Amino acid sequence: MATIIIDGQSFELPEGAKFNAIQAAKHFGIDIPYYCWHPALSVVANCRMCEIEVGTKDPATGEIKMLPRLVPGCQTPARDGTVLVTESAKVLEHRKNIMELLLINHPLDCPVCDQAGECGLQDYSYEHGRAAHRFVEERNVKPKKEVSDLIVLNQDRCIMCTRCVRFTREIPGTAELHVMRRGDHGEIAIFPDQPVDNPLAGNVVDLCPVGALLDKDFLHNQRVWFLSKHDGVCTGCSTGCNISVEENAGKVWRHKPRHNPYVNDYWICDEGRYGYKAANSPTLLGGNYVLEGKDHHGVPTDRFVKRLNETLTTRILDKQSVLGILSPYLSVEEAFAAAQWLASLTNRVELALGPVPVRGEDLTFAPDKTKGRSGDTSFIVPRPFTISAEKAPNRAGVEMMLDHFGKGAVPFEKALESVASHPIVIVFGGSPDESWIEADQVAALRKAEVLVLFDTTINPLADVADFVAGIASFAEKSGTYVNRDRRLQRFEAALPPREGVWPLLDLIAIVSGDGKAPIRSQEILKAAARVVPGLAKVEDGLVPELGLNLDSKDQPIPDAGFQDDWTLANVSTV
Amino acid sequence: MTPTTLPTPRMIPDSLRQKIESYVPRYPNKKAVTLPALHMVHSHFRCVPYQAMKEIAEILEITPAEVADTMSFYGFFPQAPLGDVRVWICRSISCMLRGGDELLEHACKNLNIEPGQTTADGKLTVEFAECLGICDHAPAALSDDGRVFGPLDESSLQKMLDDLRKGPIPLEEL
Ligand code: SF4
Ligand code: FES
Repeated sequence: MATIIIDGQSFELPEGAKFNAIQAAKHFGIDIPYYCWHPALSVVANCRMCEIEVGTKDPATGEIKMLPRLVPGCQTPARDGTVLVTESAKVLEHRKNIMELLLINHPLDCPVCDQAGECGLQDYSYEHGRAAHRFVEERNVKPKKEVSDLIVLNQDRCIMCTRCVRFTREIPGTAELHVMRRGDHGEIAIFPDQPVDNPLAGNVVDLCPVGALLDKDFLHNQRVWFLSKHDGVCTGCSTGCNISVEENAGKVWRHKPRHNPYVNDYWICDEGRYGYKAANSPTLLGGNYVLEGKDHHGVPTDRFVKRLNETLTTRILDKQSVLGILSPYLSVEEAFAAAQWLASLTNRVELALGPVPVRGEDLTFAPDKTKGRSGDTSFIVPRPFTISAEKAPNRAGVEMMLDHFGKGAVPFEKALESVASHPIVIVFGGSPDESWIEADQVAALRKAEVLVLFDTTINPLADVADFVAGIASFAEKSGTYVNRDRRLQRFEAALPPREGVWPLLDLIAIVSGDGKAPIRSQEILKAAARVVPGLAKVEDGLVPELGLNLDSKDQPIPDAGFQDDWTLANVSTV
Repeated sequence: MTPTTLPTPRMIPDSLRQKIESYVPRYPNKKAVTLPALHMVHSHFRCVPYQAMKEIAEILEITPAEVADTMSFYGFFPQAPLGDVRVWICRSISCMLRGGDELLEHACKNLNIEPGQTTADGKLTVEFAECLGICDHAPAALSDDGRVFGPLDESSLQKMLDDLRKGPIPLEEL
């Protein structure tokens, strides 16, 4: 067992951990401030914020020998017998000095800076800096520049930590950013006409600890302390990146990545990042509609449900059969509840999978310890990041329900062929994309005598269906998805359902008369886990923070819970 | 006339390209050839413009930004062509104490340029240096054809400028 001594206290290092002093201290609840170090990037130790007193304890004599000078914690391996002193007068004085140096040319324009409220300079100034600025010489004024169509660089706020530069070199490997000149004249720059242009570009905004790199899409839209953050899972593809969905005043304003070493590490792709826009789309269905003649009429939920049930009951008593289509955008719970309801209607029911959008090919970024690295990589555990070609979040989860309640994952095209033998077609949609269905597919489905649609957007199928129920969008519902690696992941609702619209789970409960809204997705998952074999590992409807591997046991990751301070800075909300 | 896209002409000639490539086996990876390549391009053109950085990047299979990173680390590589001779006048501590700053100012005034600029006739570029490592000659200067000057005063400075404007001396005459 390796023992480390931090501020006089002994701790046992976890088995197999290759920590530096910052990670080790954090593991035991002790914070060492840092800027330039990032757990997924090589160590360059250039900001000097993390310097501490370091020594070693002789195992034989028990004697502790300290190094005479402060050393960067980010570069100090945590080994058996390592001694760290993180709060001595010497260390505290050093932090004060570093803050003063980093802020020498700082414009102090927090009132107009987007980063204010989640800024590394603000946080550490408050915790470690000094209140007064002593520098009286002329300040260096650095320019503001665009490094891509979506990212602006305020060079005057930059602390030259080079996290952004190392990111582009080490993770996507595109190396668009560089350090131009050095020292006092140093700037972050792109090569002329070669902007930061890679599918992971937006991450440089997240990992910039200060207000230097900012997202133009979010610029001056919201003060961050007004945002409420909700743990979400991106629905952009079957990778299922863990995200923070950040909302205020009924709108989602941005997606940020949350760390999950089993899925997305510290990153999200730009498509997922800007996927939040669908949550605020003006083309979301605003209620329930019934087709009368050529026109849809909005009806309150109780009348909608009554008319739907009347229609279905009469026809089912007539021994008419049902084709149910479940979209891969449904949550596990929604798919379970929908399939269960359909199965309860009649035993003449056929279930199929909705269209699964696939675009291009899987794109994997597989950083290793050598390629593009420019510093010490001994603490890095390189993890690949994949953008999946399959652009839906829960095919695997929905297929489980199709297996259990139906005859497996009947593909959409196959289902369209069987419309003729089913007078009743009930479609559960959920795609944020209004064009999820093609005109000929709409025509094929419209051949049904009764066409029922539960969906989120005004789309070509909604235009012709007899019954159209608006349901909660991806941002308005909670539940779980199963990603491409069969990992079950929970997401929270970020927004309340739109006016006049129910979450699908509630609506099914009302339609089936089975259970009373509001329905908790956890209860549904619990019920599903009792009967659906694929979910057998779920206990009590609960999903661990980093998700649940449905097939096998996860490899333990010693630093699994390590959230980089600057990717998702904790803002105290008002 | 309809606009046509012309192929971007190459700047680095084939012979130089081959010379850069011939350095690759000497290093653990291609990227490590960046600095020698910059030197070769610099001695060929007496500057390293953006187009040359792009071509170096292409040869070494890195990005132009990475070449620019290394290039801009050194004050040695200019982007615009230098004069026929480049001279550094030292202003670091030993030289400064012995009048280096004043000599630099004097030289520039005399040539009607600012430090870092080239004379209108393209003959001479004057720059300051942070320690040339020849403090025993303070106040000292160094020209890029390898001549060392110092200790300088106003008159020997003038003589130096006049000499330098005659052009670089070939290596073997040193
Ligand atoms: S722009 Fe941000 S991430 Fe990049 S060096 Fe400056 S402070 Fe660091
Ligand atoms: S020097 Fe260690 S975090 Fe910057």
